Amino acid sequence: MLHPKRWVARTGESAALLMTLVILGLGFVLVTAAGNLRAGRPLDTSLLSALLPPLVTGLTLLGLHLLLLWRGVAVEQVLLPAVAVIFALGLIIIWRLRGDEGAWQQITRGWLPGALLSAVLIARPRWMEYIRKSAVWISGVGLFLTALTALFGAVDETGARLALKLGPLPAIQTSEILKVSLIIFLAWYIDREGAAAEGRAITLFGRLRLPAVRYFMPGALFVGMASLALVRMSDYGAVLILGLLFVAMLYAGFETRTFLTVAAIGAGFAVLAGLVIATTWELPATIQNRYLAFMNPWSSAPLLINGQPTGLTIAEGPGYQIQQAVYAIIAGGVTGAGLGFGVPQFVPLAHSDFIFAAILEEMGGGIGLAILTLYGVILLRLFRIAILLPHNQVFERLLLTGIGVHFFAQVLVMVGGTLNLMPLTGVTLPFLSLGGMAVLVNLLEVGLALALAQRLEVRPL
Amino acid sequence: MSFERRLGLLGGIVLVVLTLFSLRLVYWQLIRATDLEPVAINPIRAAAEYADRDVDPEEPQPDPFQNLERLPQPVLQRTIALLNGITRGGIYDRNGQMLASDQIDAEGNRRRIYSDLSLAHVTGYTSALRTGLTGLELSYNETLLGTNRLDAQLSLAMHQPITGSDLILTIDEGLQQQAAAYLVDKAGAIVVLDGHSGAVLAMASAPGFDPNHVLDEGYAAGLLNNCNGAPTCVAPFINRSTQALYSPGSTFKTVILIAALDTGQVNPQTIFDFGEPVVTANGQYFVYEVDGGIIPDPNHKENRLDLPMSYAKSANAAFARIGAEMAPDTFINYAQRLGFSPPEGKVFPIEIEFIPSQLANNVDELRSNNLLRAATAIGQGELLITPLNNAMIVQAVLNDGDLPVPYLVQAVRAPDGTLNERLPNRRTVSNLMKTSTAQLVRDMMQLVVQDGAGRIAAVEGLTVGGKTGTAQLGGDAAPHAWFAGYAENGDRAVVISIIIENGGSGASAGGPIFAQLAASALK
Repeated sequence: MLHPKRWVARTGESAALLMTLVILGLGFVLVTAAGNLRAGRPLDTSLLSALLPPLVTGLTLLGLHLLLLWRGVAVEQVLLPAVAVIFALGLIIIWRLRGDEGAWQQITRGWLPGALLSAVLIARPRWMEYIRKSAVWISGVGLFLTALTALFGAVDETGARLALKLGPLPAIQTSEILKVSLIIFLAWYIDREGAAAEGRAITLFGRLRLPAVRYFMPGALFVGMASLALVRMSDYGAVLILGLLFVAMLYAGFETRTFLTVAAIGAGFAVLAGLVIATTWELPATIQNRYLAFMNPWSSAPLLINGQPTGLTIAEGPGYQIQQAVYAIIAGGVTGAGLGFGVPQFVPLAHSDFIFAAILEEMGGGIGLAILTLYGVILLRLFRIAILLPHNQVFERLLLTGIGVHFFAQVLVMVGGTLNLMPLTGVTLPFLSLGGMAVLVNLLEVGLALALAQRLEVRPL
Repeated sequence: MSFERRLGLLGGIVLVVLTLFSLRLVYWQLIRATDLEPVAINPIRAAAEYADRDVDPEEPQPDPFQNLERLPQPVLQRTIALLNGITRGGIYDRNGQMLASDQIDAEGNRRRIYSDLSLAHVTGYTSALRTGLTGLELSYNETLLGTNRLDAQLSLAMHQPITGSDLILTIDEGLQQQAAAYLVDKAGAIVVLDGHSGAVLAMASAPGFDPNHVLDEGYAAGLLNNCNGAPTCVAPFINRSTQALYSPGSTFKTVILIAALDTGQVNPQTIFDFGEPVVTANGQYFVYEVDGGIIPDPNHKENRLDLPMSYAKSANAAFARIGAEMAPDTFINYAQRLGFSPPEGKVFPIEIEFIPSQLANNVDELRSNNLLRAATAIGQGELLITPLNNAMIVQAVLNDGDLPVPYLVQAVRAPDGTLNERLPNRRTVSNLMKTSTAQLVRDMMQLVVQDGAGRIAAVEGLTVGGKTGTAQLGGDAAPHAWFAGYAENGDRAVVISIIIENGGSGASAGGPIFAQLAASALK
């Protein structure tokens, strides 16, 4: 049985989770009431059934919370509530846009299995060792699944080939699995070879110390092979994210002296990417058009594909999505149009890629800033755990770094594209976008962090 | 560098990027929101703004209707979504008869229904989005949508469907139908104004179109192709009352008469001696010679006429002389203040599309060219005028030199029934001429009907004054027939301006119509 003192070990987290559930419940009630208002039904029609998804989400959170209490963990009470708030806001908008079907898909295919796997890791933190020992196998499976998707995956309406359908199982998106595979692989590799690599560092100009080429070749090969597959899947966002992960983890993992090292490694990756581009024919046209759309989404310049006019303009082609996102953002203003009262359905993929635009339209810029802040908080908490772990746990430290960079890279690519700060490529926003496998993997990554957090001693900072 | 410091640096990069994102969010929502409105209540204006962005200012402006296609697709979608929740206000005549309203058709779509086709040019019509494209539908777009009402703004903010305000027009539907009937199978325009307020009682223009179908595919082309370019189907979309420019013929003599009387150049006792007429096989005519050119005057037989009879008989030689001898500045000044080639910012504010009249292709040429001034003074030269402008000149004469600017909307009725009659369209332009001048001109206009060219326009029991005009077109084409005048019955008065294209003489084509309309309006 739980020791009485343990009940109060995570009061901060319990309060934050309670508030999250209030937000979630209110959101579902408001969306349902707004729908009733628009349809001219009595306001309280089917209000109780609308509370079912928040209830399930709440029970899941309660379970994770109790599990942490039972384990006697007092540290890291911020991570879970921050994730829960982002997930709650996403679930509200998904419920608004996709109704029952979308919300339950998000919960049953992403949230519940993710929470279950996290619970296993939290309950048995020692099993982390298995992950480390089988890192090569895990990353191999990740690459293999990606290759299968690239070869046999189903082509969706946007022409991308993202989902893999295996037998009777529901279709899965493999790109998140691939990213975690890379994180595990790099953490394992740097942990194993890092010390040796430091010894054999190349010194340029007397100051600049680079890890020897052979120590980042395995990672580069992994990224290169994965990129080839991703390009075939038209998942350019994932290529970018793999590159960012690669650069950031090598930077964090090696005892290098100057920041220029990162630039050098990045340049190496750029050469690799250039090779990939050169071997495919469709990439340049797509990237060029996305760049043009980024420079001016309203451009009336003709849309060319491989030099051939398509009869459309940039504004009607790749600029269309950015325009929609921008108008959604402006229509929402600072306070938002109100849940259920905007028209985010005009924004393509408002429930997945462009969920941030949909949130900005209906909930407003204030909530948008809050979400960005929460992503920052999640990332800094992950880095904090990594820093507080003992120095010799290199694999675990790099794993946490990779997880943080992974979340950040997804936000960078997707929010940057939505706000027209960089050319648009569609990826999922962690915990926000509708997508079973993405939520599952992201939540599992949080579970990993919570499992590792148990190794920390409680000490005042 | 230790692992801790490297991670700290990564964290710093993340915070910088997230800050950048936040600033970008603020940029879109607070800075760019002013010029990127997601909803275009006035699609034509918005389209023009979008078009302006990549149009060379040296190039001629593209057609605004074409520009509608240039609205970004997202703006169109959002505008449709907003407008679907709005019931557009109706348009009614002064007696409450419905002229235009939103109705729901068999498929459940809202449609704008217009019940009087003769008012198509006045009411205008809406786009498929039910926002105004032309006429009052355009100029009162936000009133009809209700978006300029505070309570509607609140309702929109609360996401309640809203209803636009109704327009109560000054139009008298009975008089309008009567006016339109005179124009059946003709081309021309008739404007009837309330003599004292400037309220437009009827405004008909022919040929016309059906605003219920104007946006149907092929409708406009069909309308234009149906009669092989016959004059009675030229330019059906033009409101001839306010947008068509005609040679004014003798009706312009009123403007010269006003200028000459006002400045003391002439008085009612002034006698004009025309000399000996030129006699030809077809009859005789007088001439006025100036700077080597001649102005022929076939309108009368008398060698000498005083000023009132010169005006009543429309003596070209008298008015050519007045014009030639008038100081050019006076000439131009009076023409401009009565609406001809007005300086920028001085165009009469009319609620629907209105094209100012033209004094000359190049007004400065009137200063040096006496012959052009003489020709202009009798209504030839390079003069062009709209029928409404002609009515406004008479209106100023009737009101002792003040011009109550014609207006079409009498009141705006909110959905809760409250009437707003204090509208900014009620304006008066004062002191266009001296009161005494206006009195003299009225007397002479009455003389036209009593004893001059316009006897056919007389109505028993009413005080009637007016001026006929016959605008020669050259070649074999029959001239345009003008009549512009007023009729009084006690306190009530109307001003009527009529043009019948190729109608022949102004008196015979315009006079009877004037008499019947005046009788209907005032008896």
